Amino acid sequence: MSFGNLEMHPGQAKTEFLRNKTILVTGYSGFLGHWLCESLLSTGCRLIGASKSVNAKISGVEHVICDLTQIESLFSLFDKYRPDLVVHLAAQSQTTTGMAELANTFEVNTRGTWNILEALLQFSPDAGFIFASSDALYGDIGEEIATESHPYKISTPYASSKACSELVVKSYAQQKNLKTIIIRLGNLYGPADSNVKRIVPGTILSLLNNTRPEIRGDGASIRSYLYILDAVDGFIKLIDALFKNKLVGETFNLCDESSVSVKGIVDTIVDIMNLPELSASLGNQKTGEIKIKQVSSKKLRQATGWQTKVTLQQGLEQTIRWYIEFNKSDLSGEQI
Amino acid sequence: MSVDLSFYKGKKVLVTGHTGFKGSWLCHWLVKLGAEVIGYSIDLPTTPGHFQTSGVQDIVKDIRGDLCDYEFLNSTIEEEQPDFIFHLAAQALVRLSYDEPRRTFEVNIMGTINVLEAARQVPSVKNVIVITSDKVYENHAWEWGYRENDRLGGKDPYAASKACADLATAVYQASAFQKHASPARDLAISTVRAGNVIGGGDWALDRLVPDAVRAIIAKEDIVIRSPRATRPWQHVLEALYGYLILGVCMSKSKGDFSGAWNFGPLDVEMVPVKQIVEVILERWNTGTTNLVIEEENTGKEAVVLRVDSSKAIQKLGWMPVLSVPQALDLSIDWYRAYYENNTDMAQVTSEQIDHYFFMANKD
Repeated sequence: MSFGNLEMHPGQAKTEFLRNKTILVTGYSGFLGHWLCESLLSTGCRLIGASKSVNAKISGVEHVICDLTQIESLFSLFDKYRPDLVVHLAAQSQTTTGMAELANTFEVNTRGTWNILEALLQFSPDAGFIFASSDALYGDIGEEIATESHPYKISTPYASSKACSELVVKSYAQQKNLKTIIIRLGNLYGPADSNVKRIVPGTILSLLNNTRPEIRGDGASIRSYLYILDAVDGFIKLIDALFKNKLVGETFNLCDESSVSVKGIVDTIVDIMNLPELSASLGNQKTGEIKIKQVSSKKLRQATGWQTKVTLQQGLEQTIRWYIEFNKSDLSGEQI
Repeated sequence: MSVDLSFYKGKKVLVTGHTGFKGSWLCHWLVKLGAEVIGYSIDLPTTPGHFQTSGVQDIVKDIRGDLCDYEFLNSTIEEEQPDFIFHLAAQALVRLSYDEPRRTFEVNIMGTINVLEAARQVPSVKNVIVITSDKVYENHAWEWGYRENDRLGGKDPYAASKACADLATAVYQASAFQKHASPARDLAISTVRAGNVIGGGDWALDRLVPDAVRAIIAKEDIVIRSPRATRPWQHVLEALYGYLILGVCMSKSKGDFSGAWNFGPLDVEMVPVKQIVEVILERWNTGTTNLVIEEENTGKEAVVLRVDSSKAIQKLGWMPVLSVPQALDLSIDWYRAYYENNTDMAQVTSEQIDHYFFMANKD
């Protein structure tokens, strides 16, 4: 899959230290995993991508099929590759799916996490472990801005499974001296997101298909959206720290710090694509989603010098440009 | 004015972990109250144990099954159609959790999820009480008791697993989830967080009172290495009384009473291990067992986590009434009755329940 002429992120962190290291990325076939791998490929590391999808492939990444709920397959995987670093992104992540398949969400997200940790303990106990968690576990805190010390406030199965996974990670880290960092991600957007249930790709693709984008609910929910390459940059900085034995055991929010309403972001996309006649249609059913969410990434900024480099406007423009290009090559059905 | 427990008369109650120490005492109390009790648990955790010595198998429907066997658990609940579920079954030993973290997580987290999944599938179930632990709180080493909305975050695998069980339960309980789930339900679900329960008939390993009793029976000395260490000890009946009261309140008004509840001991200032053993030896003076102190760590004792029970006290009308020495007295009396007099331990158990109830409700 080609990314065309999209520039790699300006000012990317130097990653010479990763040359010849073996890095395992689970969930690499997902949106974040894909971009993280793209970024890591240029570092000279040996990249192993684990996914349960048979089709997922990025050239340069050794693809392994792996089901997190089957611990035996994880043991084989770790035995074979003995990674120096594990970036655990794989999860059952959609809120709506979570409601319907609650037990499965815990199976994949929570049990899957301790399965990986058991395998890591057995075969690569000195490896670093970076765990992708979520700001969903802050819950509905209204006007407050969530920092890492906020308590869990659980209202969705996904959030609960992630909170539980964090406790599992911390417990293993503490008891077995594993080097871990937990990253709480907010919403991400950017090119090559194949999950059309997410608001940005969903909206762009509706518009490309000449349909009015639909908003679940009233669109008044306020969120932040982090450009994918800014997110990757955050990961790279924390990978760097972990290899230097710094920030071990810490938890960091990795979120954009400006906020926009769901309707606002949809309107901006409609605007950039210049299709005012296809303005959003609003639903009115309540789906149990949270009204406002503001999360601070100050801790990450202060610890690593990370900052967002792409504004929402710029990011959406790049994203839209990519989808237009991609749509032209008529590969819109392909799974990433 | 105490809550009327006769509410349980004629109710079908499922107790998971009925073969364990707490579960066994709970079964006796529920049966006394006229409930029809079904127990679901794997086999006996210790020999002897409160379960077999007090004859629980004679008074409940004794089903042996694994929490991790969802099919069997689900079909059991479907067949039995309980109104209430008290979920106590767990991997409860901290030391074992260090050696077997994965199994601890499987049983305590996925097992709890299995119970909640099965409960929501069977319409007869109206109330679920999930027993977690006071160890679910992230320990800030401060002097204040933890309140229910403080951060969760136990570090050892046992504590982490219980914190996770609590977090998982929170989502099953949330009305937003229940309304949008399929089938839509309106279950009253609570988690209860109590401390280190003591009582007659506990033979678990690495617990202070059972260890002391074992030493007395073996005519050996009781050796303690951390004489100044403290734990939030409370009598098992005190915690169970809280759970029973909560159950009644939940069924009368689920919206107001679903949630997390602390049930901590009476004393803010906790009794150190040395004093516990002294009280035991005073109550059970055989002359062949002495207290021996081999203090390992002469530094400052870690600040032990305790809970604030204001919510339960104010909203449920529950109140801890036994001091630790009183709890110890009851416990030792039970053990002595068992070892010395070959007594009917079902009868002793029943009498102790009556005695506790009297203590909790006078004035």
